[in-house]
Amino acid sequence: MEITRHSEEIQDEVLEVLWTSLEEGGRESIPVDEILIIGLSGPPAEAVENLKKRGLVQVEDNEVHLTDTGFEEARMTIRRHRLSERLFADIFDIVEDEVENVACRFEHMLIKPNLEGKICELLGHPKTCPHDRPIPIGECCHKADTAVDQAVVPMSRLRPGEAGIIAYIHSGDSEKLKKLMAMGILPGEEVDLERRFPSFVFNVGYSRYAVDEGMASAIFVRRQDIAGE
Amino acid sequence: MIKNEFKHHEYTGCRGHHSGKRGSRLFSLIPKLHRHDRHGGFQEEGVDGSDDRNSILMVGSPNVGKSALFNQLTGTYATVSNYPGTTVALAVGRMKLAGREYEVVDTPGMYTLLSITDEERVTRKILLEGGYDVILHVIDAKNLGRMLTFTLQLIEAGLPVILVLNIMDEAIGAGLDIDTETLSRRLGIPVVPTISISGKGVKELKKEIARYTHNGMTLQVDYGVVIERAVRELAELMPAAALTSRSEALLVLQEDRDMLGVVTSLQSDKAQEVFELVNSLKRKLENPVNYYLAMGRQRRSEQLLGGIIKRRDITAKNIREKIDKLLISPLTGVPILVLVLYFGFYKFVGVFGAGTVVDFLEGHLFETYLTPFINDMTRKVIPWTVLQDLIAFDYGILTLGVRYAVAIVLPIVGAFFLVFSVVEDSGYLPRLSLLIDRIFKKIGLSGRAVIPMTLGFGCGTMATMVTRTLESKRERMIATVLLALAIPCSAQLGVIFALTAQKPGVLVTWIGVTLFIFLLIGYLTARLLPGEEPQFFMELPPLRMPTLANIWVKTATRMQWYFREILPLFLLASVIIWAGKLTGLFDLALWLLEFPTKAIGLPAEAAQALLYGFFRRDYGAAGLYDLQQGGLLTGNELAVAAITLTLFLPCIAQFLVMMKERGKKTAIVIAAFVFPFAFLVGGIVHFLLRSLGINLQ
Repeated sequence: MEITRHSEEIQDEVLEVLWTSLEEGGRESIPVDEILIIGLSGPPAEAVENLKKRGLVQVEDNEVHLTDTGFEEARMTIRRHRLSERLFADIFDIVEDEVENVACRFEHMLIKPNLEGKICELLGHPKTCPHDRPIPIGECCHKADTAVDQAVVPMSRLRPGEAGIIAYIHSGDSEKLKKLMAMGILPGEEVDLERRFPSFVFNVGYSRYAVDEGMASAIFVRRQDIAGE
Repeated sequence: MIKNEFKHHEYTGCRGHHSGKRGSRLFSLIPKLHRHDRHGGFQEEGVDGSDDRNSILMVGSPNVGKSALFNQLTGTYATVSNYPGTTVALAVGRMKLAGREYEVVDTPGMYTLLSITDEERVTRKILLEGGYDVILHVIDAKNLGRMLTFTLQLIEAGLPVILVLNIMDEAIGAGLDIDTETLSRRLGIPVVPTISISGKGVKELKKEIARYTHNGMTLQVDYGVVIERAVRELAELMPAAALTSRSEALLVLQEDRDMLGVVTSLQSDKAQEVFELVNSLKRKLENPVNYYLAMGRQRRSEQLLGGIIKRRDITAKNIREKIDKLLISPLTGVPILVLVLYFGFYKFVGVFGAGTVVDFLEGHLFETYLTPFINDMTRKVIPWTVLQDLIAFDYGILTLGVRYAVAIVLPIVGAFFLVFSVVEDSGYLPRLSLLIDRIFKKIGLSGRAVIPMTLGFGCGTMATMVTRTLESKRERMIATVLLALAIPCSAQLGVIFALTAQKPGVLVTWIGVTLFIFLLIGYLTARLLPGEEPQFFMELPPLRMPTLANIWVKTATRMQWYFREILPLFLLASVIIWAGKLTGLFDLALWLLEFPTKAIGLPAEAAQALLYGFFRRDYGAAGLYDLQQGGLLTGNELAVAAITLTLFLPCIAQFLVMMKERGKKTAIVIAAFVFPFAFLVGGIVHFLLRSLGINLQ
């Protein structure tokens, strides 16, 4: 795939490569010509030079490594990238192979102030990307942990006794979606979770349902405290 | 009590793509039936063009009291239970109203016009066929808000709908007050509140039916600009049918299998155009089409219901909820399950049914009076020994066939169906489903499979038919295998309980080994069969107190079914054994079977019981009973024989149903596996017991 890429995008990619190699192989530094970026034919020499100017990387003996500010910046870049992947996989139902490519383009838009936080909230502060790699924690996630928040979470994460409004049904599996909707489990309906074990038992309207964990995690709920307000 | 005009039309799994054909055959049975019975003779239909031949179709979600309402309307009986999805076949009954004759058809439950499971497709197919005068959409009144969307679909399809708000008592109990008159005005169709269990509102409903005329008004739902345009374009391409072209178009957009089948039968360029339209719409939308349709209907339904439902606050938690909690928490639910099994099945079916009642009928009535009398009479009346043997003595139709069926099998099966009806009506089974789902997942089944599996303890043949209610082919397959192999039917259970009454060690070994094989084979089949993990979802009906009348009728109906099914086979088995003995074939088969029988450490006589088992499993078990009574089996042998027999080839009736439901090839493969496997396990148990020096008591 030949794409014209902005210089910032390429710089972000380089940061991501450095982060991943640290995360996966524990390698502190990589030779410049080992950094491969999709859409570039050679090593990203220019990007590295720019990053150096911004004080995000240092280059010693042709080996690139992240500075402290660079580390923080790479963390946020990775976070945006993996959040985008989650967004496309969970909400837009893009197949796994394509997620990566779409997310690569999209993540750069999340730099706008706090957009990343909002998406994180919408997704219910997910912990991992669709490929099961950890998503670095953001400020909003800390807040969510402490405050009674309004975040959207899969019903499988509610505690017994918690209530909420169905925000959307994860459309990844359209059979599942059909079944749930056929039974009247629709966005906008109020749910309260009665128990999680041995199956998820919950009420919608005047009906009670029992579903397994897979089904329960397809129902995304905007959380409300049942005793709240 | 149970009238003859009530018939169950079996639905023979439409899984192919030739959708229309089977559906039309199915439906064509109904008018025919009617023609036959109406004035006690044949009559040409619609001679003077007057419309006196009316049919009523009942549709609605599972567990909203359709069957109970059907019974109220027709005075005939359809199985009523407190379990979603009991009606797997169509029930047809008749009703007279203001001098006119009506045919009433009760259908399996369905939630929306778009069908998911095979049973739902039965109903949908009938809807697509058309030809009925009134459709009763029966809903659970307290869930009006959610169920009205299906009503909207029906109205939108141009169908003649009457909305029945059933189970009003529970809605009132929940503090709901529904303004049915306003609702009726807004929808443009009659709306009738009923309580089908007690018959309240049925008179009013009949009145509505009698004066019903289809006003042709259709209510439309607005699905948004993008979808509406696609629908308009598609509708023009759809062939004329029972549904409006608009609702046909909507089904096509949701890629409904049967509707797509209809499209494929169009001219190829037309079909091409349809598929292109569908695909281009799909590309424009983020979510599956039915998501938007469901949302659209939901919005419309909320709008229509605005101000119609008033709620009073009912806060008091009642005892029902407390019992409910106990049933579904594992800590209390599992002990309760054990109690139900112990008292309901072991004590009642095993000890009372298979013990007390069988002892009386078989040991007293037959042994002392009937059998000697029959033998005596036969000897006097029939001069030929060959014919004497057909009627009486060891293998006669009366002394073997009828005796087994009436004195041994009937009381046991009857006791089982009685307990099952109570359990089913109370609403316990769905709770059991959710309790057991996690364990069932390990063997490739979902909690839903609790129904066929429990029913299998009654009659494997009936249970194999009910596997239809399971969602995926894979699940149906696993359930069929397990039913064929490791689930003993009530007749077997009863006899085995009776055999082992004095030998707890044998009973425990038998339970242990059978349970182990059940889990092992389930686990392995689940591993071997390709396909996705089953998903578990189920609406939990409220717990309800079973009514005596309902339990009685239900048990009677099931026993009647069983008897119709079983008695001819028992008689046939007697005849085959007689003929086999006469020609020497039976002896040959026995001789052949004696090898594996002896190989697993059983006396040669046990081969006979196993051979009977081929005709009916319970028959074989009963044969084993005779053997035990004669003191021919030790504890170890009894355990091995009971295990082998339980695992053995399913009875011939179940095998036939397996062929019908799963296909010939599959059924034969299953049988070819089960047969040697039963002997293998029997042999292993024998070997283990012997080498460990265990003597079961």
